[in-house]
Amino acid sequence: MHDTMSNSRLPRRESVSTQEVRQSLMRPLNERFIKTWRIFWGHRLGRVGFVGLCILVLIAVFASWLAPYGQSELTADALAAPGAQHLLGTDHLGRDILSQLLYGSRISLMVGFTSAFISAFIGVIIGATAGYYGGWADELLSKVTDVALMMPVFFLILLVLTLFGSSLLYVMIIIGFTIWPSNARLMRAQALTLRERTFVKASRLLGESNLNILWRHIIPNGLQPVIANTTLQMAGAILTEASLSFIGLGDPNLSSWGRMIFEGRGYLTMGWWATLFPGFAIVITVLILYFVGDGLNYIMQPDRRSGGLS
Amino acid sequence: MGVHADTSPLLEINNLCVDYLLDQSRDGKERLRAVDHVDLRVREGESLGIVGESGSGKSTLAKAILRLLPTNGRVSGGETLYKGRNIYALTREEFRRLRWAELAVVFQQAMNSLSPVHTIEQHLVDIYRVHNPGASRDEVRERGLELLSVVGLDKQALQSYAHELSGGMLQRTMIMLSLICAPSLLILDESTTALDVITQNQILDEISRLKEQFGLTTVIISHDISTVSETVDRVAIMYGGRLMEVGSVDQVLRKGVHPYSRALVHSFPYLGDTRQRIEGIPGAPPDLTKEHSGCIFVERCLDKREICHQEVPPRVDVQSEHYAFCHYPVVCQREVQ
Amino acid sequence: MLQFIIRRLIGLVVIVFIVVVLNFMLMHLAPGDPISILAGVDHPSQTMVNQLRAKYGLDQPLSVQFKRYVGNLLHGDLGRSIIYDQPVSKLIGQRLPPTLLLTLTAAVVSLVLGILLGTWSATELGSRFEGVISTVSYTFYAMPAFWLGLMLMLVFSSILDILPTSGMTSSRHSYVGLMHWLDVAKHLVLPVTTLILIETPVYYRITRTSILQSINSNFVTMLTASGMKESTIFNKYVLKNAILPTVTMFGLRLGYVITGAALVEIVFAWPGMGRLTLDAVFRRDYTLLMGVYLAVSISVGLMILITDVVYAYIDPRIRYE
Repeated sequence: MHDTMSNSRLPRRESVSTQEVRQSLMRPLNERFIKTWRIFWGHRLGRVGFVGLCILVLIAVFASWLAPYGQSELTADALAAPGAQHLLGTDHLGRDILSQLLYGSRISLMVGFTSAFISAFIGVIIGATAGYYGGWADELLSKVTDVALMMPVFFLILLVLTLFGSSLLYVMIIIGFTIWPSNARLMRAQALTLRERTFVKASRLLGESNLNILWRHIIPNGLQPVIANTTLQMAGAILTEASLSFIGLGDPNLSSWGRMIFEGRGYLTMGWWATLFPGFAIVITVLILYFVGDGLNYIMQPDRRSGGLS
Repeated sequence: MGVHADTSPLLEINNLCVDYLLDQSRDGKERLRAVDHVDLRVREGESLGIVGESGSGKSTLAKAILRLLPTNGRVSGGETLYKGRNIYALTREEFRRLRWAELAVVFQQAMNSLSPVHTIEQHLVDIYRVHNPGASRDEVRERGLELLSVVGLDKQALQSYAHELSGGMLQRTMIMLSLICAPSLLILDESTTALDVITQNQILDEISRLKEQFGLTTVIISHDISTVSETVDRVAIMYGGRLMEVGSVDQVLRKGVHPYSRALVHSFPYLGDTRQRIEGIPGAPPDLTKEHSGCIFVERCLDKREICHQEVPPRVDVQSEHYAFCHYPVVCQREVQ
Repeated sequence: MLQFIIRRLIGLVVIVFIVVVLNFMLMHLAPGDPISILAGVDHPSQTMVNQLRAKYGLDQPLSVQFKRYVGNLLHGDLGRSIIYDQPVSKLIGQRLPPTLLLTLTAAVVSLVLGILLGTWSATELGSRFEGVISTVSYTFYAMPAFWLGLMLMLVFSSILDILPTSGMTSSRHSYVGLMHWLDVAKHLVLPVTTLILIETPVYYRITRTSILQSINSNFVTMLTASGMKESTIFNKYVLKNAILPTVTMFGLRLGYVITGAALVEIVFAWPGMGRLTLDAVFRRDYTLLMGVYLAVSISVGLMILITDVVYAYIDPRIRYE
């Protein structure tokens, strides 16, 4: 082919080692991460959320040091109002509310992370497969996703837990298995766009197997919206677990925040603190996750300016 | 080519400067100068083409004329006169009456210029009623059908939605809509860019015909110098927000004196071209957020000298109505073929 | 358009079928045998066992059982509730209307309120105040429905005593006609308000974002260029475009609203499906629970269908999917 780019000033290189290529790809990755971090930090809500999340995780990890009383320690003071001895009062069995809240954070975070992770795993695989392969696979999987999206899954969860038992493990698994559709949709949209990109087409031409392409190119590059969605899913999972506990389907051996409300419900007028504070804990945790999600969404928008250039 | 020898031009742009204000905290810069001291005249019945690469400021210029700049856009100097009246001195209401009835525009990407949930007819009726309040639906439909046949569309198009029409049909629809209130000046901003070559030619032919038929004055904005040159009388070449050269098509393209104009023409093949090699213009467009003390084209100019870095090039009049902004215009050279 | 509706109806049938299949599968996959699951007791009497066997064909191959099961359903037979000792279909027939009343009232009021607030916010509000409203709306959206219900009940019923604590009608009086409906309305206030406080933020947010996006669309530029008044552009063109994501969201939220309604019903002893569900879970009445799941799925499916049709009416692009 006749070279028409005589103006090109690029020096001719004989060969480039894999090492050099890898290095040249890594540098932008680190720089990109730092740049992305700076943008995230510039977003007020995201900042607040991130700090809050760190505090929550610390509370969960150090709960046993922070809590003034033991995890299920029964004191003689049943339904005591908030005061010096018990900062947030006690419940009908004499357990210190503050300590219970601190220990409960472990359950909430665990439910959040695990359910969201399972959901992301299932959703990403289904979405990437549907979007990348297209054809009948896409049609089938999309129909399945749409159906799952529209069903009132809470009642299905009730059915499953009633039949199989309601240990925390089952709760986390079943929640994860019912909330994946939103992730699938996001991933599918990404896969649809990505499969038209030159580097994907090039990989196919080079003979890379479809599975390889999915695993190494499509999924990693399409993960961004799923990650932002995951924080929302965590929030949703925590709320769902609370609702399940309220119906009596939470793990009876663990005092999750939802369970605390369930147990305190009968004493609402006499000991309102037993239901008020666990609710606060849920609201604050969910809010923190919303804020982080907002920040993550913000860094993903290409057009962040108001009144941009046209 | 009915150019009327009127003394006062229909559209007059004097020393116009347009800036986009930037968010300093986020972008670190204060403003972007998109249009820099531009002077243009368009006579009634004339057709002017404004040519430039992306970022040359041509679209911003169009928006400035139509008072359609976004919220962070500012006219920071100069004036725009339509029929002798300063456009920006008019109140919003006064200018609103000029819109469409005198000044109309056809944008690129016709698909996005229409509401996806309203039929073409609904657009037509509502736009017509802006300047003819109380007009009956039948009246508007009649006028619409007239224009549809002029642009070569079936009456079925009226009942359609934007997504049901092809690119070419959409563009014709936009042209039809632009003519509904019989404007005097029609601006076409990259209106054929998104189309295939065949449709492009068809549309340009239509526009030429309409120009004759309705006595329109047109301003055609494009990056594609070769197609534009077939439809317009005069050409203005812009780069980096500034004018490079202005003149008739023959003057600028065959006898161009500005290095940029010459390089542009050079970069297109033509029938009968015997060249072995086609040269692009090396380099990249300038950063318009910075101040430039000399000629804006200096970084990419192959004929540059010392003074080009230091002083803004003066206006050099080659002939009447043919001028360029260059320190060393290439005059008296053999014609560029 | 008709084709669109038919296609969506078929989709609904498919969903209901899937729910039926799920119910059937779970019954057989769960620990314990179907008989004790259906009977609800660990050692059912021989007569009961025989009855169940005959009715569901439990000694026959699965495919036959499934046919029997579907056959029963199509006749309206959802089984018999163990707790209440009544046909499940009858119980659902009694309890579904109050739930739908609560759900639809909350959903529609939230939608309208959210749209009004979102529109006002997009057009009038400065960014400083918007931040406050945004945070407040986020906070409500973060609340568990049942907890908010409890708190509202605590404040307005227990402490302030201006609204009834529970039930749908006054137990002390029995009204008829208009007075009856006013009584119902009075009892409806707290449960509905709980749901509205949680749902409205969603519609507020999406309407606001959608309108802001629409205002920056290219077609708005074009209409401005034509000299059309801002108010006309906004009322006729922007709103119709901006409402679309909100309508989509309405369809997606219906499942959540009915779930929230069930929980709130438990708090306020509203005589709807929520109470039924609670009892069924507590006493392991699987037949009842499966019936509830089916009924709720059909209800939500129908509501989503209607929403889709409304959406297609507004947006012509969707009619050809």
